[in-house]
Amino acid sequence: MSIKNLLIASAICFATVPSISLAQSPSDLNDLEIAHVAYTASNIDIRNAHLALALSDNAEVRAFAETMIRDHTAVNDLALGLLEKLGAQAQDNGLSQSLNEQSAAFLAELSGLSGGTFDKRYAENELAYHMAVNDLVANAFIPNIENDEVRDLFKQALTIFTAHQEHSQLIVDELN
Amino acid sequence: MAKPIQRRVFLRGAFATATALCGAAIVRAEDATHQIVIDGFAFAPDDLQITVGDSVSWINRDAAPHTVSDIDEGFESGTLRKGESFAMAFLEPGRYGYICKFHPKMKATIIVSR
Repeated sequence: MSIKNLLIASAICFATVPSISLAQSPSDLNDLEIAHVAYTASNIDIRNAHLALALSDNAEVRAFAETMIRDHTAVNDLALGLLEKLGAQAQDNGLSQSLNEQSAAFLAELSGLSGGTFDKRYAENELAYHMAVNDLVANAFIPNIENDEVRDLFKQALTIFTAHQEHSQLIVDELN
Repeated sequence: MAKPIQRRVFLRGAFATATALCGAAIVRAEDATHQIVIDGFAFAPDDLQITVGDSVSWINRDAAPHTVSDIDEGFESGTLRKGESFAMAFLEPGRYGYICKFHPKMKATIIVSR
């Protein structure tokens, strides 16, 4: 299955929750653009988590949100450290902008919810979001990254995001 | 149920503090130290058998922070960032199950025998 088809399949699988629609082919991005997408995706998840901490009373949802903030902040710190070491800066691009636009729309929707409805929507989105991002990282980003240290960082990040996907699946199952 | 332990914490490579939760431990010359590596969101080994008086140290190799948290609340490492370590001596026999509080799928066990 091609990367494009894989991503389309992901979007179809998660048609009921926000999926990542692409304004730019991820396989065309350079290392610094890929780094920007990853940084953007982490920041989006951190923003979602802060909203969950503000609006949710569910202990498991709140613990998950705290873990998202902690882990994504750690990944972003490592990414910034590596970029500084390499003397480079992440480059904004169409995919990052597309992610931010979709995130703004989702946050607007999510902030209007409360109670169990909020928890379910947040958790389902976290599951779908991590599945889509993990597809991108594993199948489009890691195979195309040229710098060995950047590729290694993305492999570490994929391990973390895969754990998040499994964790969010647990939350979704419990809420259902 | 909390069990008597001696806990030693190493932070950022430096021996930071030694906290005895239940009296001082007599460390024998033959007491061994075992290392558990936290890597890829798993404790390795995840099933360790040791002898009373032995010490165990954990080091976090993951980019994500983790904890070493006794399910019976007998010991708690606090947040271990990448490269940070936590160590303690086990002074009582028993089965010690522990988890990472942040990542519920991370579970492991230490069995301490005489």
